[in-house]
Amino acid sequence: MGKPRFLYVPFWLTYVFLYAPILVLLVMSFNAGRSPYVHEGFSLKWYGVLAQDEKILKGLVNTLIVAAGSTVLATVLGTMLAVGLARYTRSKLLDALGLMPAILPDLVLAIGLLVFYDVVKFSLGLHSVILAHALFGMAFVAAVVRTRLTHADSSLEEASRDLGAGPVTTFVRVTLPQLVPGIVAGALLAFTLSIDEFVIAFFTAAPTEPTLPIVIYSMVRFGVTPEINALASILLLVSFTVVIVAQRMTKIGEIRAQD
Amino acid sequence: MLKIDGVTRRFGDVTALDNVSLEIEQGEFFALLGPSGCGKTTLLRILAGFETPDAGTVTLDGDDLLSMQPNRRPINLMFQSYALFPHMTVAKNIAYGLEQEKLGKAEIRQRVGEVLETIGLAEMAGRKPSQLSGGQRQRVALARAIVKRPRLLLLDEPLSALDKKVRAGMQLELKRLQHEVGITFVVVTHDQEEAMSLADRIAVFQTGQVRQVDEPVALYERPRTPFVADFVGANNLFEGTAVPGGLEVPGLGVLPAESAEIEDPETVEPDDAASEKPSSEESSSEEPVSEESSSEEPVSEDTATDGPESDGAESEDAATDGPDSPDAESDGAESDGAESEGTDAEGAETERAESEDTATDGPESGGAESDGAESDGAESEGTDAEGAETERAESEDTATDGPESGGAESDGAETDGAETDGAESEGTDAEGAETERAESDGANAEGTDGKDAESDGAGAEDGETEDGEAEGGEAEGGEVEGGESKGRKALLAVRPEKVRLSDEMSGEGLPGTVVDVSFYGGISHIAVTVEGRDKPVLVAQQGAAKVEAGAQVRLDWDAHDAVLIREG
Repeated sequence: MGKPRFLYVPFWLTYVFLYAPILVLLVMSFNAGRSPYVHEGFSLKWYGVLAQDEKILKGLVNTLIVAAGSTVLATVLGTMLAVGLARYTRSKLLDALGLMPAILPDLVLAIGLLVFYDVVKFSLGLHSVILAHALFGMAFVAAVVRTRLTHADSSLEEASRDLGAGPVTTFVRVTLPQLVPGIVAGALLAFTLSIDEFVIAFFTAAPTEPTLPIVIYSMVRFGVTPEINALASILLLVSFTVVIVAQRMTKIGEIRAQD
Repeated sequence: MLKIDGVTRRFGDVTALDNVSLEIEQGEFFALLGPSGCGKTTLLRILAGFETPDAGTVTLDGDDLLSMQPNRRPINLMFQSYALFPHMTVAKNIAYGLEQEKLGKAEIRQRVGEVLETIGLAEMAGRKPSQLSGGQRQRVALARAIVKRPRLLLLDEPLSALDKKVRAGMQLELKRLQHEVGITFVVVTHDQEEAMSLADRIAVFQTGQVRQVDEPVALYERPRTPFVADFVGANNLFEGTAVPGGLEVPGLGVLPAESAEIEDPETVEPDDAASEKPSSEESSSEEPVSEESSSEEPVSEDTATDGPESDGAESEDAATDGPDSPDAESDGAESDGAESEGTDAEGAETERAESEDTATDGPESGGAESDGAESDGAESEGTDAEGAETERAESEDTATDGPESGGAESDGAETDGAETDGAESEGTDAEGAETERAESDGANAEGTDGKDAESDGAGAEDGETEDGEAEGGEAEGGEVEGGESKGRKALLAVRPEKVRLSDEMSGEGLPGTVVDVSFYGGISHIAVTVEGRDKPVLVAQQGAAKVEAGAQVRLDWDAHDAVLIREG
């Protein structure tokens, strides 16, 4: 509609730049040959190999445990953090610090956690990864819920107080239902981030309990096979699904909030 | 019942509420009216418990409200946004407050059912708020609040979110409900029509202060501050100086009005005033100008009298002894033939003594004093008046220039409209006296021949006496034997529907040009530009207007329809 056509060119170029590598990865996962670089015909055989790889399966299970555990923790803590920040402080500094872990370099967080665990004599294992992932996941949940809270109608809470409800009842029966879409979106975000998180897991996991990204990393060191491509494709699919679901949840929440 | 005492609330540098005190009675429908940012909503939130004042107390039937949590107060608030819980059904929304009271399920169901009947939304019980129209949501919000049976119900802009048609219905509904449930209602609104139509009493707020608390009619007809006049009723406002019988506006002349300070009910009722007058034909004579005069004054003949004073005492061979007015006592003022001496009048108005061979004996009333007011033929000497106004000396042989004092409004001795040909007024000294208009074309009413008269030294520094015409002369620093007086800055407020519009150019009144005519609500809204005034004067006429844009018209109004408000 009257918009200059040529502006589509950079748009599409960016898109190609974004998705070309992913496309290559997908195509190569269906490779009949052994090389991850030369396509020698269509085959699902690497998916079969993947399914029988004990190391990878163990890594996958570990990752799911970590993701689930850390998501639960991150969602609960993150929501509480967001509500606290939105309703009980006016401090911009606290606000910024609360959401800091989301933008802190993973490496800094990883080293910090490792040192911390060592100082408090905390044993390393899946639980230490769960805690570590909960830490940064919490920041993401808090950021999403916080945004929702600022858009939420605070008069609803006042109405609840006005009608005789105490602060706890008000939170459970009025505030929380308003935040559900934000909480769900935050949880899904924390989940996906946890699944493919490498650096922090690498530092805080026990060598005997590697998560999937760590397993993949150790495999890649000996050369990439199409098996890795197959795995990556599956992860991609999972991430995509989750992101789209999260997006839809937020949108539904927004529509509902507008009503 | 509800007592708000000295409540102050500041937000940083902004004072949202400044020492506000109000008392609201049991069962009253009370409105807090003001433009946005005037503090009315802050007060409401303090009552509801969402804000805490910096100073002051609020008690409900003697109990300190401020120490109670919002959920413990026997007060409910209907929010402007309605604040219905979007995830609950209508019934659940209404039940919410009752559930907090730990009532039994059966009772809750019964009371919710009852209130749903009352608001006529029984069949909507299972719907979510998003499935309701604006008016229905508003009713649900109201139901949710009244189902709790609070002692006080606060309503924050209850009708602002509704369109006009629904609004009218809801106004009635609200009044009916309030009557039915007997709960004290306090409504906050910026819409003066809403406040007027709903409330028994209204408190007008401006910049955190209460400007006036009054019943709707009183507020409308007798605004006490310029702000109230402007905010309530879309008054036409004129700035000027108070003179007897009206307001002197530079460039426009004297506009008729009566003072808002005059509290005497009789002053409001022209009939009463008239009945107390000495019999006179022209008893309705607040007008500074008479028929024959080529007046610039926007006043008409039938202007009703204001005040119990002796206006237009006219009689032949009559000795008007002191106009009969409640406080009036006349002594000492002598206007014999052409002389009036020692007119003592404190707050008295001898507005016009027209008489042949009449001796008007100085009316004294109210408390202003003017002695030595002497008008001899065309001479008025030594009119001393504290708060006295010498309005007009007009007569055959007579110059009864009754000092007139419009009550508190005129501290100024004003010689207003002394129409005399070559009139002489001597020693009319006054601090801030105004020789408003000495017109000298023999424009006086019947049989005035003040030919020998001279008006000189009317104590007016700025006063001009040119060919007997002194216009707008404002005397400052003049001195009077026995008194000082001052011309007061004031504001005249007249409502659009009280302004008369005539297209006869020969009549009296402010000349102007119609710039716009719009018709809605069964009323024609006419904007008229008047020379010497930036803002057009608004006129409202019932039915379709007969004038069109561009027409030359004259505007006038009755003095008792206009209100003078002291500025400052």
